[in-house]
Amino acid sequence: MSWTKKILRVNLTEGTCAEEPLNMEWAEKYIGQRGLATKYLVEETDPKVDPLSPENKMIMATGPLTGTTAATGGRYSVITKGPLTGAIACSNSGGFFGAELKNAGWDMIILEGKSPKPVYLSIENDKAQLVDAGDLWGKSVWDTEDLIKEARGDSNIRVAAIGKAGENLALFAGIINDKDRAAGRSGVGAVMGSKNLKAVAVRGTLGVSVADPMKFLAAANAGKKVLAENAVTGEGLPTYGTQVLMNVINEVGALPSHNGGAVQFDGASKIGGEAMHEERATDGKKNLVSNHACFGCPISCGRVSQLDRTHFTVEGTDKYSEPSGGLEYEAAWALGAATDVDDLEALTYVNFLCNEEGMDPISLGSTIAAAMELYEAGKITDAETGGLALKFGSAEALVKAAQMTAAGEGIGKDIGLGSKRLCEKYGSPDASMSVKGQEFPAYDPRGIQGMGLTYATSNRGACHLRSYTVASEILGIPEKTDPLTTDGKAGLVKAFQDATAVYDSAGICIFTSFAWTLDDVTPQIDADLEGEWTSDRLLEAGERIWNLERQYNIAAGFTGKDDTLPKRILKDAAKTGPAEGKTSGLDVMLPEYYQLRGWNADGVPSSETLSRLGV
Amino acid sequence: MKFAVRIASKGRQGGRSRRELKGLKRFNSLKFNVLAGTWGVIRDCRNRCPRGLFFLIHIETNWEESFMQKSLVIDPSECTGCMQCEMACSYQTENAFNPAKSRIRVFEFKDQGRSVPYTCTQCDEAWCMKACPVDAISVDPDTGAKIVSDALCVGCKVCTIACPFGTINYNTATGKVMKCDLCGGDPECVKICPTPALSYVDAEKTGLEKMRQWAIRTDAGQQAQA
Amino acid sequence: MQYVIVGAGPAGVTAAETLRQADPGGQVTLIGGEAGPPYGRMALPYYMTGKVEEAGTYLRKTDGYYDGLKIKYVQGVVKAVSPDAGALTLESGDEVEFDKLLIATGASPVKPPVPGLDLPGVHHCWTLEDARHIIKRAEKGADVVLMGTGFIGCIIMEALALRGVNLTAIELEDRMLPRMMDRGGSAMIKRWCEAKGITVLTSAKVTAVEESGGGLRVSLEKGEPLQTALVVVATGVKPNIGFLEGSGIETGEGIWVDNHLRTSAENVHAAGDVAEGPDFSTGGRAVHAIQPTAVEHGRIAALNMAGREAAYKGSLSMNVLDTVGLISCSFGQWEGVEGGETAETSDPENYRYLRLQFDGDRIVGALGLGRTDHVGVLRGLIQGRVALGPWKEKLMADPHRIMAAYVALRADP
Repeated sequence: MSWTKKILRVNLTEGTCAEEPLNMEWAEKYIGQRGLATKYLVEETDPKVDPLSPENKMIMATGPLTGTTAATGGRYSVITKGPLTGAIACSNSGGFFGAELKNAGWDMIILEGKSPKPVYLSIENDKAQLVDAGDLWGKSVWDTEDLIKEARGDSNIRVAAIGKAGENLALFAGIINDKDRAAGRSGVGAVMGSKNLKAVAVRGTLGVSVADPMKFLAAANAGKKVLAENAVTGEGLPTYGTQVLMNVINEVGALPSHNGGAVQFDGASKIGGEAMHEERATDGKKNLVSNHACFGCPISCGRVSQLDRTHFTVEGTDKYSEPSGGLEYEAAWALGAATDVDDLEALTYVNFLCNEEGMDPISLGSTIAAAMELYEAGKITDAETGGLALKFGSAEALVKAAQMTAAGEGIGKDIGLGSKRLCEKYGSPDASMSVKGQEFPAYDPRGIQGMGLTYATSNRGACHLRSYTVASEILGIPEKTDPLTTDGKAGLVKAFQDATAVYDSAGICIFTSFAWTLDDVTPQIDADLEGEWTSDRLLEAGERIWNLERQYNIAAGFTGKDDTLPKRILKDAAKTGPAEGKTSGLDVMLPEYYQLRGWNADGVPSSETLSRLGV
Repeated sequence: MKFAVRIASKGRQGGRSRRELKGLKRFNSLKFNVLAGTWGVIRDCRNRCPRGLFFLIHIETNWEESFMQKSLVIDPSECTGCMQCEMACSYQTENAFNPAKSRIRVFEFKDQGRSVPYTCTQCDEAWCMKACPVDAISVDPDTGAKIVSDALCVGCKVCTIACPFGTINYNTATGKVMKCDLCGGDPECVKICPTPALSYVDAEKTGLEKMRQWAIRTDAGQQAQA
Repeated sequence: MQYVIVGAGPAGVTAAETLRQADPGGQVTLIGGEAGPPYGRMALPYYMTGKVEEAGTYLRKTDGYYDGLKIKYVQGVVKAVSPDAGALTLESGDEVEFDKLLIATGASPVKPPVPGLDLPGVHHCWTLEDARHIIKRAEKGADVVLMGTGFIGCIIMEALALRGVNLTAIELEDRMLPRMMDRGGSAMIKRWCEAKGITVLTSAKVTAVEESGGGLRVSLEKGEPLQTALVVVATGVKPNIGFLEGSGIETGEGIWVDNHLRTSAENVHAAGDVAEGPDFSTGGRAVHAIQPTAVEHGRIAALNMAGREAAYKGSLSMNVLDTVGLISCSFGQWEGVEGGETAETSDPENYRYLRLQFDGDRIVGALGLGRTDHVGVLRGLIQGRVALGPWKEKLMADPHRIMAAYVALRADP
């Protein structure tokens, strides 16, 4: 039922919008959103396609719980071949866009071809059309949303858009919806930009119904109760947001700093969740203004922040005079700890800029950190930076580099390539803290061993959200494991990966998994959809999805050799903290992981595995 | 028109059984309505009771001791903008999760970093009820809510322009108007709200009076106070 | 105290109820001009489409309602009033005495000076009786001519269209709804009607209606005559004040009343469509023949009649209209005021239009088309004289945010 069973296919080359039925055979096997859209991408495109060519397709997909009253049921994902990685890309976002799309009656939008001129896609329930966006091209995400709402005369419209970064094809450009929620990673915004598609604007008023309403409400309410009573989802995240992690991860010695040169950051306490709650010495106000929840979310981890008007980034201007989406942990880490910048206001400013112009703050921060290393090593010189002293710890350098990247100017153009290409260009490939071309996030694999395997095997390049073993290794969810050992981590990672694929395909937020097990999710999906859905069936679907993504990457040219980590993580031991002396034990974990997966020694799924899963 | 017609609908008080409570509620509301002199309610009561009983109750019951008014109270400072109230409301009223059909709406003020839920305050003026040309809106004697009878509503929409709060709306799908009816005394929006932003509590304890004052401050309100 | 109310529309009935409440011991007589229980004209179009039965149009639904409230309800048409004598005369010759009189005799449709408008098959759509006649003739597939595309004409259009007739609407002026909608909005409504299969002739004049071949022939100043089964005349209404001649009660377009709804005679009040009372927007007098005003008038007049001082701040002109499914509304000074500013947003393709008129940082009038959500808030903003402050600029940029403006100002007064 909460499949609308309708797909919108938009051919940007032809300028056509057509409705078609959802392939229910696939839906039964791949659930929705991440899984189902991947199936469509696999079936419809050549994995060797140039990600920024018209032949690549971009799918915006909801899950069967999107738009329902299931807690956090407002997610959608963008599935395409990622230009940053050349691998399958699946960027998941909250906010309200996904639920609106579902309410308009669509499970997903498949965008293909390339428009001859800038356009945006306007959807009002079953009516979809491409609208000239000549006047929107060059505008920020925020202005684009405002202008579309004004032009269409409906402030209830939800907009997902790219900013200048996406237009300029910065390889880590994201798609921002609702002004501060991002399908951020892998450069999905550049794919959108390559298609001359500025935005998708949706208004949906059709409603979402479920197969068994009484059962569904009971299951959804039970789920909400679990979230409310859990320490992380009921208290930690609501109070501090994801930034609750900054000091915790620093203390366990897994906060990558100085572009991976260190595992702890002295300035952590200045840029974490607690700091956002403190009154500033300058104006007596707090950085944090309020919480803002995504659609249907009782956790409300989203932050709303306001800049200090006396800060150098905005002093004397009216730029960012209003509150906006504040720092999440990943952004605060990448923009701050990775670059050694401990200026909370500067990080907030760059975070605003990332939302405004559509950039992934993880890749941006990590790439700037790499650029700082190259600058300090003399590989990048003032000639390239235009005189900008790109030094670690310099808030001014961070801010300027971010502005230049958004605008696609000077050294910003190189930064926009991502750290892998930047470091290769300047002859220091080992300075890129990335896997498969994607920058890794805020957990150092030397201090949290499971995350090393997570990054190395993530199908979209380094990513914490494909198997967030931090939950187990640090927070003890569902049970505590030792972050410094590799024992059992292969199994842990596989279990998290398969379960996460289910969450990502269902339309709910992975943060629910701090409190929920799959047994909390299953009854909601079972009541939501026709047929019988068990945890076993879902887990098998999760494993199927994982293997399908893997197959796509192999067909795209990836091999087991790409399942690795930066040399620094593998060779240079942590210098401080509980992980002192440790490197990543990936070499131990990876073979075990392949074996558990039913893959051969080169990381290729065996035919038995594929046939068992029906891939 | 000084009295609010709001009678408690939840909770056991004064050691009375549920059944007694139900009876009392009816009695009390009748008494109260006589005092308030709200015609819509008197009509309603007359429909329910033989006339003799009507006055008997008037004499015999003592309403003050057992019941307090209850009101839906909104505290925007607690709202996270998750819109679960809209989903609960639309589900209750439309059988689908459809925020566009919700009687309670969350307004998002991104530039201020806050969200404000808003719905009918069941105002004493009852602009909608008074403007209805076919008597399709009445007061629920149990809750004080102004409720729309789908059987009587012809869909003329006069109430939608008469209500200065914009909280009664035309539903093109049904050809009738829709508004908050307090779910008969157990509002779904309140039950689902994950924060204290929405509550259904004794009116005196709340910001209801503040909300009323705001409404009254408008000339429209003063005029009706006359 | 002997209260007499002439006219049993919304104003009269509300006044009777209010009197009963304000003066429980007083005698209340309600005189209705038509047979049957009091009904609401607003509901007639829905009766014509079959959405409701005849009883569904009644103002009050309960059996014995008026008896129950000890309101004496009689049928009769008033012929003359003598305030000095405290009495009125009915056409039946009966005399009714009063201490306090409320005149709520409403309005009647006017016929333009066109020959043939008295023929069978030519009807107004004003009374329940008219509606019964129209229903008989307006069968599916029948040719119907509608004269007048003002508020009433447009509402009837919906009812006729739903009955499946072939409809031609004729408007003397150069646009539909000349008194409720500006040119841009009118053009959209006309295009909408045409898309629904209705022929709309603007700047067109009917010169004669004649019997022809079992039906009627409608001749136009320009173009071919139209053959039709039914002519519906909706070319405006005027207050029913003819019977006041010689009464000494001052009248203009309607009966002049002060802010207590009192006429020039101490013991006579007037309310509803017949009254020319305080206009909220201009401070002057105006006839606002709309349901909400009728009810407010009825209540305020009754309170004053019962000796309870109640001042009226004036009625706000406002309308909501469903023209064959396209909903439009107008509030207050929608044409704007001198020195004021205008914010407008228009999406003709999707039949959406919103125009706000400001005087300083307050909204004084508005027009809306194609949008139904939260429109009442325009009344709140206008009649509450809400100072918009920073929201003025926001509404100038995006007029659709009216409800957000109201909520924002309300939550943070």
